[in-house]
Amino acid sequence: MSAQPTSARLIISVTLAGLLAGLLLAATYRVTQPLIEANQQKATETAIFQVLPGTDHFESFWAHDGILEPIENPLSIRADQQVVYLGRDGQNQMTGFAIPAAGPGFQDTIKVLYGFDPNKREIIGFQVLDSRETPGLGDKILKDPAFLGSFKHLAVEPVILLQTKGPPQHNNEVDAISGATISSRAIVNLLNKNLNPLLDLLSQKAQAEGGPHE
Amino acid sequence: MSEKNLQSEFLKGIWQENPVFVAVLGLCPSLAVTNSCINGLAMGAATFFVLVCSSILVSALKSVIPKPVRISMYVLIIATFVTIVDFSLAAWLPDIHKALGAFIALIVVNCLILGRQEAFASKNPVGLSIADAMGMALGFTLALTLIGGIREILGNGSLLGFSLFGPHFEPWVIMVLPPGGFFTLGGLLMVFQYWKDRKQARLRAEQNREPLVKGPMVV
Amino acid sequence: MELLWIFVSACVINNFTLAYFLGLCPFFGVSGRLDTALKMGVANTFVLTITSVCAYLLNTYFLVYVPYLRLISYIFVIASTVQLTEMLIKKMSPVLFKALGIFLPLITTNCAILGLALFQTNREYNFVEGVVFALGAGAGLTLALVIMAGIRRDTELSNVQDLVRGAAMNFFIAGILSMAFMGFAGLFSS
Repeated sequence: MSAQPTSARLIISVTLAGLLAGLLLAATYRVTQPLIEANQQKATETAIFQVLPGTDHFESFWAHDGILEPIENPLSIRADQQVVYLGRDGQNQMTGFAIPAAGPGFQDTIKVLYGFDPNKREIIGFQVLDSRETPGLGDKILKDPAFLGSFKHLAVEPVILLQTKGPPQHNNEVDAISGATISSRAIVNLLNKNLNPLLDLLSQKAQAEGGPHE
Repeated sequence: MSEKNLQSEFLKGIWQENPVFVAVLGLCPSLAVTNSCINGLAMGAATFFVLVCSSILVSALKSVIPKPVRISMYVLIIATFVTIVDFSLAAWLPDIHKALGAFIALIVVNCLILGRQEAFASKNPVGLSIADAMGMALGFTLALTLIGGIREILGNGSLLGFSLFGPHFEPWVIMVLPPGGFFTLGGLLMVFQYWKDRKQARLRAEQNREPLVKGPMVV
Repeated sequence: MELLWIFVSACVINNFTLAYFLGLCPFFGVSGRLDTALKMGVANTFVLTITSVCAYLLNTYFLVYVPYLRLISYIFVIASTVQLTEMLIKKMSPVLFKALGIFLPLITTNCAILGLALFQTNREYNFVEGVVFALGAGAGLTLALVIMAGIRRDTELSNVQDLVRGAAMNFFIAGILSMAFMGFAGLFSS
């Protein structure tokens, strides 16, 4: 057994190890970060294109205090910022807004992205981004055709309602999933709560864009 | 028993000293991500990489690492490899990264990995350490895949995404939910206990018989 | 509403131990006795809260520049927090230190602590949300530990098959508890 190492040696070896680890990680980060960012970008794009049919490209805005502030770097978005994506088609005409929202579900927080047409004042597309709802029951919000079909032309005024008995009668009603009523209701509440404060702002923006095109 | 060889060091982790079923280590990932076979396999593979790489490094550097700070060093090494795995999965296999989520980073606190560094890699040459790490990691991966497989078959009626029983099977949803993880591992531990008890009983029976047969030859 | 949801969600709906399988080691290891289980839970809650604050400070002031050091810095912050807590409690309240004594070092290897820091980062909680999340998670851990200890005290004395006794039975009990906690789901969505 060698003598007890001095504390100087301990400090040096720990620092050296820390430096080496840091260097190795910095290198890995350098290589992987562009790919990771590209993956995130692609996931966002795919989701936006799905909820806003006909979209070719989009602009990002931060909605706060009654204005839409353009976001230059999409990676700087924080979770507490309400983001709104303005979609445009090949002729640069507005296709609508894609809006991310999150709220309490049956099990855990549900994250969704929905497409909103400010001229018709309708929700025109909907996708669940992230949920931990019960497999086989609550996770039907991901794939139940009748439920998802309700979001093709869903009027948002006066409020979105949940139709639990039979097919929807009015165009502001969502068809509840049997066996997943609570998850369905969670989504309706989430959409109402998220869209209400944004409605005026989005209408103004749409008017500035020049309204519906013929 | 005195001479350690590669083969036995490799094999012990898979069955005799299986980290999940015998040592009951690394519980958090073995239950949290095993709601499907493929997730179990991916988690096992990530752990495999971290465990083998850390063991190589710790074993190679064992004379350089000062004793008083060795645990911090092991943790530093493990955390570095886990971060590399985390970044690589996010870059090249984003779907798997999303499915495993924060549990990839939690490999750091998997007692199995730190345990092998302290108990084996820091005392043995590189070759043996690799064999030990690979055996343990393979045992861990097999256990996770098995748990994931059982939970997926019963809870979803499928294996590796392929439907097994046709449309009339009513899946036991509870098996892919958290309670199913506890039940599956509890059941498997019971099976292992049964196997261990039987082996011990057989051993005892042989020992009791031995003097009768071998008695005269000793003299 | 938001804060209440974070607290209740971390405490019972998505209980760290019974839904995320975090902190299983103390759950199975220390839950043999009711009073030790309670103390362990309190000690964990304490460390969880401090870790949450540290993780927030790290995220805001340090890791924005070097995101790749996240995991390493969390681990070392947790280890130092536990050490500091130990020294602090020893100075301030020797009685409490005597009661918690051996449990404090064990907390370092509790995956719940690192899990909390990681979840908090993934969900981008702010300072207050983080602290509420930590308190909820701590309350949930304590609850699970205490219930488990209470059940185990009774099962120790009951007549159980040798095959099931020990680890296997603890898993079955945990599974049933986990099922019971599933009943809390949906508290906030109707």
